Amino acid sequence: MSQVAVQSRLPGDARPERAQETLGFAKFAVVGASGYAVNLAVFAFLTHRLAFEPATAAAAAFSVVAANNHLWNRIWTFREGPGSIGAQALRFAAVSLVGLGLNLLLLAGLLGAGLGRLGAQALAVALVLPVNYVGTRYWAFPEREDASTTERTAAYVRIAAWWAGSRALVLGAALVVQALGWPRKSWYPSIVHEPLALLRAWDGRWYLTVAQRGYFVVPRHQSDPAFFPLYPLLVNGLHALGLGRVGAGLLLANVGFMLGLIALYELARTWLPEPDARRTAIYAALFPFGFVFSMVYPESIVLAAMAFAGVFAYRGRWVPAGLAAAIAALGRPEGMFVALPLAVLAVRRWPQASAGERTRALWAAIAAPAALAGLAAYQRSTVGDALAFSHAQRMWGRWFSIGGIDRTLTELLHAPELHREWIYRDLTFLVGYLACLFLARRAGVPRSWVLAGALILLLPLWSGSVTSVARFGLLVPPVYAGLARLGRNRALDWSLRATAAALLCVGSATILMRWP
Amino acid sequence: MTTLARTVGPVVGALIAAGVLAGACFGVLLVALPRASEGQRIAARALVKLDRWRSQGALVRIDGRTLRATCTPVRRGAVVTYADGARILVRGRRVRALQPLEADGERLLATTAQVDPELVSAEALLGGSRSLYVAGLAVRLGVFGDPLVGLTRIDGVPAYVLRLGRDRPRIELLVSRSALEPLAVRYSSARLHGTSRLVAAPARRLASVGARGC
Repeated sequence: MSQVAVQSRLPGDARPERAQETLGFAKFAVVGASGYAVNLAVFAFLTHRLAFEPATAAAAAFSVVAANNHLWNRIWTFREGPGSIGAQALRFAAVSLVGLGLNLLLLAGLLGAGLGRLGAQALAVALVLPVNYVGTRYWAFPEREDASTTERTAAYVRIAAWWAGSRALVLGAALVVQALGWPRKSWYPSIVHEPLALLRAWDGRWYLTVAQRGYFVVPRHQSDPAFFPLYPLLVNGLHALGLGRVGAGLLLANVGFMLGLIALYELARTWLPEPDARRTAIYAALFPFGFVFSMVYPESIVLAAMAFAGVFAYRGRWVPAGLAAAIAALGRPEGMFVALPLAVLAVRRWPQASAGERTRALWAAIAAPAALAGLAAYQRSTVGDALAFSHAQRMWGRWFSIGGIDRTLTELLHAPELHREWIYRDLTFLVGYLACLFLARRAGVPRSWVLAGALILLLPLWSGSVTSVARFGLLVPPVYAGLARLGRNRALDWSLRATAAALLCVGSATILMRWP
Repeated sequence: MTTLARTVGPVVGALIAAGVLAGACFGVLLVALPRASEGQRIAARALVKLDRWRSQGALVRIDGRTLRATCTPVRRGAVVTYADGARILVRGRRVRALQPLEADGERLLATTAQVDPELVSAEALLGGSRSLYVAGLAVRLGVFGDPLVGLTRIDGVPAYVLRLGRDRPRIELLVSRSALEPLAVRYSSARLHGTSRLVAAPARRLASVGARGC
């Protein structure tokens, strides 16, 4: 008996550590359960006593619970963890937000599958708990806080500040022009009834239509199969929780953009020195055409998915990389192109990799096309055309052909006569993007990412129009890295930021004049 | 042999896993995305029917008066001519009042000397201009959801009631339930109310050039 007891404490035995881990997890679960009770109590108080809207009450309850859980985790669950309370709180808030997002998505899915409200929420919380625990244990409250963690936290704080500032500019400009009714009052609904109506214009209407009634082909007219399904699915997920579809779309776009900036920073860190990586994310936040990231559009989520796919692949975590690539491909056609750098990374790892890693790496590389195949099968079953997402583009005057470049050139040459002067805006951005790609390559961004970016920018020219290329380029991560190289000069850095912020305001104010 | 197995095995495994992923995406979309309603499917079929259908005009009843309208195709559009001389040019979804053929004849429909824009729109819609029905139904399908608002009978023929365009004014196209043939139009706003019984042009192979409709 005593021998067994002694043996169980031999050095290198993992059992005590495992027991410690189990105890930590149990404490975390207790704190989480207390938070859950607090959440329900605050939610009930705000909705029943103070007549708050459910979404507002949920957000308020979440904030209270985040503070409560952080406090208890700091002083009880992970009390040996080092680091300042501010940095810990920020990391904990980020983990909590990701957990909340997962929770809401699972909840919507389970509700959709027919589970009762309480049962669905209980199951969703149970499923998210391990993810939250891993994030909290290993990132928010790490046992050792090394230089890289401190550096990351500082960078995240700065990026979050630039995200908040740039989004305030976009939302502010949108509100001001709506309030002023500029340039025509008749273009806007009442600011009281539909604030930020500007941000759900153009394609936003189509994504909301897909969310509302699914895919539907109106013969010989513009139809919604041209719009990819991920974003409408997520909008419906939040809508199932009581949020209006427009509000859900705006929330997803803006929170997704914050995640996208963090992912972009992490991706850029694999290519460039840390200060350049930080500037990459900051320039993306301020990018003149970046008002699209705040509209009811999927661009921010796709950018996040593409960047995360790259980050995970560089770290050799192929399954999450493949899932992120699949998400990107279901969000926008440009998401497909992340398959190229993933394939190159997989090929590079191939000689040293085990059979299992080879399988995962190859799967990650073909995950985006596989997701697209799933979409094609779905559209075949619902609207009778596997390529409906491509064919529907015809009604917007776009279709791919060898001669498409001729149509593009004709459009450019005759733009003034056709009253399409706005395409020069897209042309200007295209030239700028290509210059940034060149700079990115010079800065050391891998060829595969630059090539994928070039394909995203240049292939649409074979569809007969340069229209919207400015928006397509938002999903080319090396573009921001190229700008970051330019910003190594301090004076140039600040003038770039000031110019970008001013142009971002102008872009936001002119959304209704021409579709992005 | 081992090298081959170390290559072929992962490739086969990855392809199977990719197939599973594609299937999972298909399944998620199938379960989570809503499907178009029966009314939307009927409206889409009616839209296809409208592409082939042509009108010769209509018998219009507006604000208590009844008169005949004829619809004639012109280059890039159609002209709706009323028995009182009113003429309206329709191009796509745009309408414009033309000078009446008999300028000094009394206009039964016009209530004022100046052309009333709403009256012109209502006359164009009720007069059988197909392109307005196509545009209105497409807008309704694209933006406002389900165009099918009910069932009715026109001269004993069972018909679907399809809403066109935006919510106001209320415009309804009545199509037969058997062949989705356009039968009648209803127009209703705060100021104007009207109905019309559409006159279809004969099938193209039977029609003479002058009677091919618009």
